[in-house]
Amino acid sequence: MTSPLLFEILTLALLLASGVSGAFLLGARSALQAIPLGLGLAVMWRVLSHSVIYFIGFGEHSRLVWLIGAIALIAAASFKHFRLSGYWLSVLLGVIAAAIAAVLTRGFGLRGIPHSDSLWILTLSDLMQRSGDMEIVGGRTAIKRGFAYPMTLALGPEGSSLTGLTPLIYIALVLAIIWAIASLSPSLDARQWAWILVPLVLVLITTPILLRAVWYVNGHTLTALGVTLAVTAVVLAVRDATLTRLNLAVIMIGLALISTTRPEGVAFAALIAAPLISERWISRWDVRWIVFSALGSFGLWMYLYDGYIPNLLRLYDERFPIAMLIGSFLVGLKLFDWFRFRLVPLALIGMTAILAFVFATNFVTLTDDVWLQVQNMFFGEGFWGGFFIAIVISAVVLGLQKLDSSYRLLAVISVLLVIGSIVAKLLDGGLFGDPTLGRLGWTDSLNRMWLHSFGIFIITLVIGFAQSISQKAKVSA
Amino acid sequence: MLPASKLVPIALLISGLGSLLLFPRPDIFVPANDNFSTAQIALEEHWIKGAAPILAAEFDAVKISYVNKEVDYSFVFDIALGQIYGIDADYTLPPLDVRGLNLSEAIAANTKERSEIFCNNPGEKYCELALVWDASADKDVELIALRIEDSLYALVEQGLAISLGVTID
Repeated sequence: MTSPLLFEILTLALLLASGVSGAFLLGARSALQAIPLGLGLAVMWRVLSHSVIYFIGFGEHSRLVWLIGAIALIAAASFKHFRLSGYWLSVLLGVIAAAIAAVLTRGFGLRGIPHSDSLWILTLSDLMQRSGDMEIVGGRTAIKRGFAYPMTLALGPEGSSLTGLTPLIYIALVLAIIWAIASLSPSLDARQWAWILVPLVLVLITTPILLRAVWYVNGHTLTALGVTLAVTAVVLAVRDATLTRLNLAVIMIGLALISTTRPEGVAFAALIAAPLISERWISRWDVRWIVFSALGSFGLWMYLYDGYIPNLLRLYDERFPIAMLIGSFLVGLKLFDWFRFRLVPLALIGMTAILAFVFATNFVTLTDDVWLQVQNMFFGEGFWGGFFIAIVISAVVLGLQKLDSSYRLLAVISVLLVIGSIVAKLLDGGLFGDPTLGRLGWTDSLNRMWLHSFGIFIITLVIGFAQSISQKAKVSA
Repeated sequence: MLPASKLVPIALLISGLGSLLLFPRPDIFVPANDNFSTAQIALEEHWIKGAAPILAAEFDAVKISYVNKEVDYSFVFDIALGQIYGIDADYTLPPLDVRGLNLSEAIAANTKERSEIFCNNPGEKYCELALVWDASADKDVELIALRIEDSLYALVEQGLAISLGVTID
């Protein structure tokens, strides 16, 4: 019998090699981009292949179908890019990352901090691994447990999960953040980079929750990977006023990841896509594809196993995914242009109005809750160390500068994500019933939701800093 | 005033050093002790809803009864988890009230797990649940839910429960 460590190394290596291959087939040409994009793509292939096979009644063969698809992707990419050393280097680096991730759990014998959410996710993954009836859990377990993450964990050895997946997602997330900074930043010299990166790394390694997230079994870092990929490609597209096929693919994969990992993901996806789909130059079909990547994948999840929202909307059976499909098409119609072109301000105004209403009607309770969140974020209770103190001070300092459009767009998206997280938490806690912003401690769900966007906060900070230095250099010259 | 190019790194440095010196340094992982099985992790971590995976890992087939959770003085045996782990659960009747038998000590020796669980005691949301069986339990096991103390429930192997004086209708 294969040892669990070897099994995990082989599975994770195949997962990443197939993803990197897919990324190269889509047009990626660097390991920095291909590894995070590849992991996202591999997870979505797992979701799609399992869903289709499960739907036609052969769920027990889903691992085999995933395997065949993964090998086919590798074969296609190695045939097409046989002479491209960058491809082979990326695959090699991906395989090394996979091996490191497996060793971090099975090799060193380490597990994430115990939490009941993690056990729920492992339980769902166990059910998926045994190809159990997904309807069992529909409506009975919290939608918060997600779909894509437990589905991929289920590729682990029989009776347990793919433990190395969680550290591997984290590695991919770190690479995605570096890719975003490299793609969006003006060029700086080594001394200037050190001037920002050394203190930044100090903040990050002294932030306990960011270290816990390496092993912590939950969908937060997978969501963060999707958010980071999608936001970066959105900002690149808006900056260049053109949407390349590769960036379209990155956005679609990122949004699909977010929408199948967290229940509020589909709303996050809308906030992230808003600045791009409200551009006048983008084609109507690209708008539809982007919206479809979020709504279609969300519809698939809801249809296959968690009917919470379809039940709420009374859109039973196939009606919900069909509604998602139709919705994606309608968004691109000329009829909705007025609305589409004003998505960002409308989203900001809408969410602010919701917050104002809820705070006005529940002032006392929510004031107490805000204080709890302040303690979580700034006073160490949520294990965020000095992270948010650094982010807020930097945002204030950089906000006073006249920086270019990429930074401003990143800042706007950051604000959208912050307000969106708070609104999502209020919805989760009963927006019009008994709204709550959570509790003291790292396990509070809003406290953990900041993990979805911390990468964007870091990117925004570094790009702002790099632009301020770059502008200063221009003025001096 | 210092320019942003200096203020931002200084702010980061102070935040990082402040975090290092002032804030708690909790564990960031736990040793797995070679245990990556979902059921065993539930057992090890005293998961509040862990009864189903623990029982499924221990026995080939599990049948439990008296786990109606819709009435006062009952506890929550999660339906989804029960079905995920293939446990045959009869939710018709609530736990048998055997507080008069004073079984707390008698079950202690054979208690395999005891953890917090949601319950429907008026004015009380959390109780404890013990999982109890002895060496004579079959691999196809039948357990019944009992109310042992005011806030202590137990799932006890049926033969063992009868030998302790519990009468089952």
